[in-house]
Order: sequence, then C-alpha cells, then structure tokens
Amino acid sequence: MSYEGRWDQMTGPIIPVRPERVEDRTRVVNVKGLVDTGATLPLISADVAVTLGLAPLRFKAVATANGTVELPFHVVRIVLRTETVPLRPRGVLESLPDGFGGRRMLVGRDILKNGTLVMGPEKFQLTIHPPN
Amino acid sequence: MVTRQEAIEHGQRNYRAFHGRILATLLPDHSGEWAVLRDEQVIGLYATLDVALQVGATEYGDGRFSIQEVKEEQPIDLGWFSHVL
Repeated sequence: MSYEGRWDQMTGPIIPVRPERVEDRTRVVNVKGLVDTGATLPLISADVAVTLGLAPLRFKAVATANGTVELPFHVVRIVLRTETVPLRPRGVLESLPDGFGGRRMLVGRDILKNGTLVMGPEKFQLTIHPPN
Repeated sequence: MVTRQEAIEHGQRNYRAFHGRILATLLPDHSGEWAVLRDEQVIGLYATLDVALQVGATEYGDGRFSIQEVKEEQPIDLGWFSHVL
C-alpha cells in the first residue's frame, strides 16, 4: 500500500486513514492522520475511541512535559484509505478529551517501521511493505 | 454503570497503584499474566488477556475494572505531541 501526498504547511504530512474496531469492521472512522516519526505508538482522539465503541480497560503511561500521564490503550485495525486491506490489529493510545490539540490521529513509528517514508520539501510518500 | 470519564479515572488510579506498589510483588511468580483490577486492588490473575477481559466484564458489569499485564513498562514517547498532552 502506498500513499503520496503534499505537506500541510501548518502541521506536516497528513495521510487519510481509517481506524476500525477489530470485532466489528462496520464501526469505522475516517480521519486525517498526522505522520509523527517521534511517536512510538499511534494515538487516536477520545471522540474516535467513543465512535468505535472502545471501552477504556487497559492503560499505558506516556511521558509528557509535566511528567507521566496514564492513557487508555486499545487494539484496532488501521486502513490506509487509498487501500482496502487493513494492517494487522495493533495497539493505539487514546488521548485525553482536552488533549491532542484538536487532532484526531497520530501515525507513529509502530506503523511507519513497516514501510518506507520518503520526505521531500513539498511532497512525501509512505509505502507500507507486506507483511505488515 | 460508570461513565466513560469515571472509567478512565478509575483505570488511571488502578494503573498508578499497580505500577507503584503491586507489580513488584507479582513479578517473581506471575510475570506475563494479566491482572484484573478494581478499586486499586488486584481481583484476579489470568493467563491470557481474553480471559481477563471476559472475567472482568462478567464479574463487574458496571465497567469499573481495568486490566494490566504483569510486566515492567517504560513511559511511551509521543514525540512532539508529548508536550501538548
């Protein structure tokens, strides 16, 4: 799967992705994911988690500028919206309701490590290699 | 049934209790197992996540429970966004 896009000058590289609930692939949300090579795991906003019906039952600690904060942790499928085949189910963190600066998803290294990310001054290309 | 926000706050308290005082007592004999927590106490230990989730949902239909794996964890780095959480 491959996606080529242009930089959002205000935020950075954005790719169209679709998190899906593992147990029910009809529960999906189409979002714009910000590629963040500094993030270990993907992150979804609280409203995306609610729409997917994900209960906050597992937690992981995240390092912040003010110490650590415990965030809900879920397992979801993620589909690049230009493709139909999902990546294998993987862990994502859920941001606090007032966090995340209005974004709905970060695409972190857990996804990026499965492919090649080529960054240019105006364009970028993300190619995920099978098996993913 | 607890609200989603109450469930998150309850789970955060469970996490702090688990990693602050409980984990060290469990690691020698239960590493890799899954703990069901309620009110900052371990209610049960199970071999798999699926079983722990099933037991938690069956025993605590009010949603006031959380699950943690018995293992050491380091805080996750979210890069630049770690500064806006």
